[in-house]
Amino acid sequence: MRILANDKLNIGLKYGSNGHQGIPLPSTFEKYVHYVKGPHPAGNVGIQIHHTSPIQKGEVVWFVHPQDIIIIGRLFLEGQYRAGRLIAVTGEEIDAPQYVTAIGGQLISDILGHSFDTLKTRIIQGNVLYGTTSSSEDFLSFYTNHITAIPEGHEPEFLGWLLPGLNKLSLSHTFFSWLMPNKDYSLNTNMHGEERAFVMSGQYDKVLPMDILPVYLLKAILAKDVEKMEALGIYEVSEEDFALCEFVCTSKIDVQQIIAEGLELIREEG
Amino acid sequence: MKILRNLIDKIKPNFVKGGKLEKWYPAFEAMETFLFSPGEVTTNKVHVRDAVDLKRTMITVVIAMIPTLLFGIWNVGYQHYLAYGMEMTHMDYFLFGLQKVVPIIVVSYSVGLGVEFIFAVVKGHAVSEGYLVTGLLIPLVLPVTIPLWMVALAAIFCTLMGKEIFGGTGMNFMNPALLARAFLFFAFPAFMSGDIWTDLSPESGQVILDAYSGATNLVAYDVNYQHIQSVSDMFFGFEQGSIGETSVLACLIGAFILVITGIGSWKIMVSVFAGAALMGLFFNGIAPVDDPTNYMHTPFYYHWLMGGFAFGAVYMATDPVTAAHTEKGKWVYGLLIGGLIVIIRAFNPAYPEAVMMVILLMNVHAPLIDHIVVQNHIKKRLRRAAQ
Repeated sequence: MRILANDKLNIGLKYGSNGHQGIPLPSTFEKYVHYVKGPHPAGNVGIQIHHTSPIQKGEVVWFVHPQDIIIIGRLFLEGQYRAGRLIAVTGEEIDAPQYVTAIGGQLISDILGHSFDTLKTRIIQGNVLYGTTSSSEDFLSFYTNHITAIPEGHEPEFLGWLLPGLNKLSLSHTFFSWLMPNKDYSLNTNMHGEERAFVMSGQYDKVLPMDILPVYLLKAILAKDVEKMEALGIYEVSEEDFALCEFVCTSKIDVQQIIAEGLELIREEG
Repeated sequence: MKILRNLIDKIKPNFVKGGKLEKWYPAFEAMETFLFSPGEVTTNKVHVRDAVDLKRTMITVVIAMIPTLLFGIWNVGYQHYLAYGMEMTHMDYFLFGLQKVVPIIVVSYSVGLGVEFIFAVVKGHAVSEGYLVTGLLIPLVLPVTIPLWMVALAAIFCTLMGKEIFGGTGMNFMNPALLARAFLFFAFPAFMSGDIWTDLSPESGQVILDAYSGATNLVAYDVNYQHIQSVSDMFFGFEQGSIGETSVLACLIGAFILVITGIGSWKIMVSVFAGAALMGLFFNGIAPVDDPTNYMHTPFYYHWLMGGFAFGAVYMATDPVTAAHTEKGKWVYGLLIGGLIVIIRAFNPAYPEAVMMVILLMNVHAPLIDHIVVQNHIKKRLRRAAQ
């Protein structure tokens, strides 16, 4: 990797419980390592790049997932390409959440043990904040390390916006559930409301640990103002980093979608 | 619930595309989503969503206004019987207030929501929840003696000119409820100032006390700031004024609800109060020593208690749409509101109720504050890139 990266290598590791020495690493690599701590999305690649060396216009950053490092390593050490990878199988609809070893291209229902009704259960390749809707008949993507199965939320709820809401997960404190901080929630795919114009300010900033003004970046994208997008840091962001912004949004705006459009626009014109 | 749901599902086909009443879909949809949170599911890469939506947000603000509303209703009755020198029970005060205030609320909601529904049907967009809050804010900032047709006119004006012509809730740049008040203030000044703060409907066999004066504390302040009511009266709200604005205590309870739920910006509330205090202290420092009645001598906390200051700081300045949107901008925005109110009260005591105009003025300037914050942010980014 050091050779491939021309020595411009950065390794992001979780800040260990045992000080900086949480994960043992050869001392020659120490100078490349950055320790990351904090809640999601601290572990996202985009957030790590932003805090180690922010991307400038024209720069390219490649990243490799640790599981792929293992596969590449095996290839060189043993001369074998073994594509098996560890997949986390999680979610409320999974009876026994666990790690399984699977190979890209494998049938999802094989991995999960049986198939699921797509009307009742959503199978996600990825996690609930960043993943692609899939199905039991689909195949494991090359990039998937995580399969999630949660219930769909097609049921309308009577006066859902008015009730105390003891079972509602919300970062706002508008439901009484916030008084029970360690409660477990059953999450489904319901939108919990309809899309509205942008009203609440300061919501995204709280869940985006970057030196970015998210709303102004989004507005620049909607206005297709390429210059403004660049000035506000479009090169440093990725869809994934805005997942929590989309999650918390009171106005139910498709934040990731807008960021994706902005990145596409910048690819064409930037 | 099941019966209701079935009924809605039965009539729904009439309203969807191709149905007989297709045009009325926004109105139907507003009713449907009022009763049932919709069963729509996520379609993008984020598969779960926070339970909060705009309906929940707005109803939380309405709940936060309830203390001021309840106190206001009581105070309307209290002030009425006080003028006649009649000792009555709290229940009598409250019932009298209820008689007077409920019609104003009903008119405000029905007319304003009517305009929203008509607009939604004509323009084919969804009915937004913003008016849930505006509809209650309007009665709270009006004198109880306001004729109902004026309330209706104000509701129409603020919904049309304050919101809908810009595209509805979220697109407006001035607080609709304050705009409604400003509209009445300039269109019908005789009904918005003078001896209008107490309902003086006749009581059989009773005459108004000679000691009664229709002047609010702000009028007294204009004469001599030392002659206003006691600090505790102003704090608890035993004074004349617009229906919901007199009690600072009730506003603080509302502020607590807004801050704890994360709906209202504590930064704006704190900075409005701080701005007034700083400016008040500054004036205390430079006030002429040989003129003890000079307005600059007014203790800073009087400004917190007088007039609609607390109500404006808690419910009006914090309107997320019309306030500054950037976090740094919110501090500047709040400090300027607080400071400007005190400046106007000190130098133009004939117009001491500056809260409404100052907040509207700062609404207009909030985008400018944000622009400066964003430009600074961009400059900082460029400097970092150049390194």
